[in-house]
Amino acid sequence: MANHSGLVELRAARSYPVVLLVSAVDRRIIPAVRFVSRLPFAEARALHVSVDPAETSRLINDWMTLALTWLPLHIREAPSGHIAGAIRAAIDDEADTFESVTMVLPELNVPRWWHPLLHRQSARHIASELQDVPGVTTVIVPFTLTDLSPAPPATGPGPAGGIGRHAVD
Amino acid sequence: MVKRFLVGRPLSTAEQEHQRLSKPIALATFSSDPISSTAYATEEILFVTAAGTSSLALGLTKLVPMSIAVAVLLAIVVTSYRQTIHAYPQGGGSYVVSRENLPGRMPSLVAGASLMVDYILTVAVSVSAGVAAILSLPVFDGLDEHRVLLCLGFVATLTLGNLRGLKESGKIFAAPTYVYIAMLAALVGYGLYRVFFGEVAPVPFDEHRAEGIAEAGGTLSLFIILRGFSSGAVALSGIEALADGVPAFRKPEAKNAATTLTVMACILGTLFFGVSLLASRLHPYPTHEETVISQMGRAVFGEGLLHVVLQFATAGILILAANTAYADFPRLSSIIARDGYLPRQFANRGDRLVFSNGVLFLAAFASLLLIAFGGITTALIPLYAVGVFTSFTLSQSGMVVRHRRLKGHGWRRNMTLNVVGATATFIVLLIVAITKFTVGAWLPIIVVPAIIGLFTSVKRHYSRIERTMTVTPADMRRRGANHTVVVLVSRVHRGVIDAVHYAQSLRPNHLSAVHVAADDADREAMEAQWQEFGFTMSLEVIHSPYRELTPAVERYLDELDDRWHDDTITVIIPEFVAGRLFSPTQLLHNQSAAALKLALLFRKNTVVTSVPWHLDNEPRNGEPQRAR
Repeated sequence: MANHSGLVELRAARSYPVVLLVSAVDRRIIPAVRFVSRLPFAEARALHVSVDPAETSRLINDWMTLALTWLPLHIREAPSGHIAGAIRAAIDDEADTFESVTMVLPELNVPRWWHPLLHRQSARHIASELQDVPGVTTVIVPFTLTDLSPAPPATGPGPAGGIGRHAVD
Repeated sequence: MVKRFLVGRPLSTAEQEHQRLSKPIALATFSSDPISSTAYATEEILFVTAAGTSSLALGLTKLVPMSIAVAVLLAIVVTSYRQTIHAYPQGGGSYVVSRENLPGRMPSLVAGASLMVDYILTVAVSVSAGVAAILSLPVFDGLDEHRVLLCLGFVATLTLGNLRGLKESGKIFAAPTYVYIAMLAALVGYGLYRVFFGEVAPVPFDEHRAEGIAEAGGTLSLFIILRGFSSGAVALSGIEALADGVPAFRKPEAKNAATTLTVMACILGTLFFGVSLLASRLHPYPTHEETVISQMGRAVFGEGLLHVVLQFATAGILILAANTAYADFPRLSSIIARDGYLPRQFANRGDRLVFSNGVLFLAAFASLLLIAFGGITTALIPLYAVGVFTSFTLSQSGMVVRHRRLKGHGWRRNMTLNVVGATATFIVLLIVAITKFTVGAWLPIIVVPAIIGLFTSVKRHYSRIERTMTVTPADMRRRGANHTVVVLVSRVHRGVIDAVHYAQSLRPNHLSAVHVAADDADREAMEAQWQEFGFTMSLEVIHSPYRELTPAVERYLDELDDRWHDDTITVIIPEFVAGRLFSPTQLLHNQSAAALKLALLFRKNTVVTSVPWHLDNEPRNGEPQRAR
């Protein structure tokens, strides 16, 4: 039993795949992207499951503008809208090389009790769908919205030039 | 699992193509709504014009001219709608046509709201009329008091059928449409033959059964005649659904849909006129106990098998008419949702490629109406026609604008057709709204603006969120961040070892394991075990005498927040996943973890990580099994 600590060092030095799930480029993904960027041995990639071609092409455009060179974007088709199935397929592909995968799921926390009627809480649904897949660690990274006033204009292009003018689920 | 069992397995897109409808099936699916209205339209005219002994004869004389007027209106609207089908093969519902052509968003929102109300009413009216047809059979005399319950049963059956997919529902119901058309044609044909060339006694008037029907008075004013006409005009309600459902047809969609529309109009016009002509000779009287069609069926066929078949076919086509709304309400609400005027959940394609949220919403409101109005068709009819004619008028006005803009081949002639259509339906809309205002038309006049209010507030919310959520590349820059990782431990098992490894691999600024202890014995046992395993990570034990997991952990995280001024705290929860489904161990292990997870999901800057441990992997012996 005492040899467990030795195992720790061995495991920690190895790289492991981290997959960030993105449905659209907006502020919701900020904490998730920062979280992934801090993981030292992560082989990080972003995964988008494409349901609607127009939405996907907008996402690709926005993603390019973000210039996250260390986080390549992968696209997977799910034309029938079966998102969980596409994610499972992506995990299966990783399983060829790695024995475990970390899935990072950005989640929007909305300020009012009735807001969940208007926003799908997709991250926790996907997390529970993936619970029975062996070797998958799910990480839900929340973005908490406290009020609905627009974000203060950051440096660079103003809000008008910002990214993410799209429907927010 | 339960959902999969009830709803069926998910469909791929390739299968979606095969869900397209052939013309005979499409005729049954889409035309059932207008054609089924022949089952109650004549009766509804009589309820208005011929209630009571004194006016029965008077009302019957007006029946034929009125049905001619409705048939002319039908011809105008169908001619006009054929244009819409050809112009919008992707589905040219009134909402889309007015959105594309009329200035501003308001006309399309009015059309959308009117149509939503109307689809709900289609379900309510058709189901109540179908139940009335069954209750007209003498065998079911005792079931009268269960009218509402029967209606709700039909709504429930339809809802389930539609959650399973469009075409399957179409196939189930295709037969009754054709049986109904054949039976009604037989009734009209044989009835008229006997009226003109043979002997058939008029329906004997039963004063007792006709009791309780509103008296129209001795004279028949123009107002009452127009009100009767408004009741007859509901026969046109299903045309909109067909224009909206063009993509459900096989290729070439537009041509097939237009042909189906014309065939449907011819059948509808002939049957409606025939029923009215026969009624003017057979003198049926309106009553809630037996439908007019049933009275005439008994007079013509006698009480026997043919009468029973007629009544069941009538119920069948009416149920299928309700099904039309099931096909189109979710389609409409998903278009509106994609424009951001309804919650995004309505834009979702459900597992069986049917927009399941829309189906459930429709069923809920139709049931509500059926309960509120006691399942009586006549009470629902005045609510019905306002929305139909509002959407007709908007859609055809939109087509007029479109012709003027595009100036395609023969646009003047086509525009004239749509102008005539728009004018005619607008006049009918005014007639319906004015003559039926006091008896129920006020309801849609209040409900439609309320729905529009809902649309705009939903849109406002999405626009605000959209502005709020805009991101710039600067937001994404890496920052020197303070990252704390906490592993929650209840006892040491293989899952915890995995979780500890995982936590260390994150290389956080601060790392600790946390155990919530109920008492000192618990605390000591845990600390001993931690030592024994030789973890390098420090273990913190917090006391919670009542074993309240969630508040104890939340207090601890608050404390950590103050201590380190963290940007992010990652909470790692080792979770058991049992191999077999419904394993009781899974429930025992994860119940407290699930409650904790849910609470933490709402905490700011808290990342919740589940490291699963699959019980199947655990060897039988040699593992630490000490209880907490």
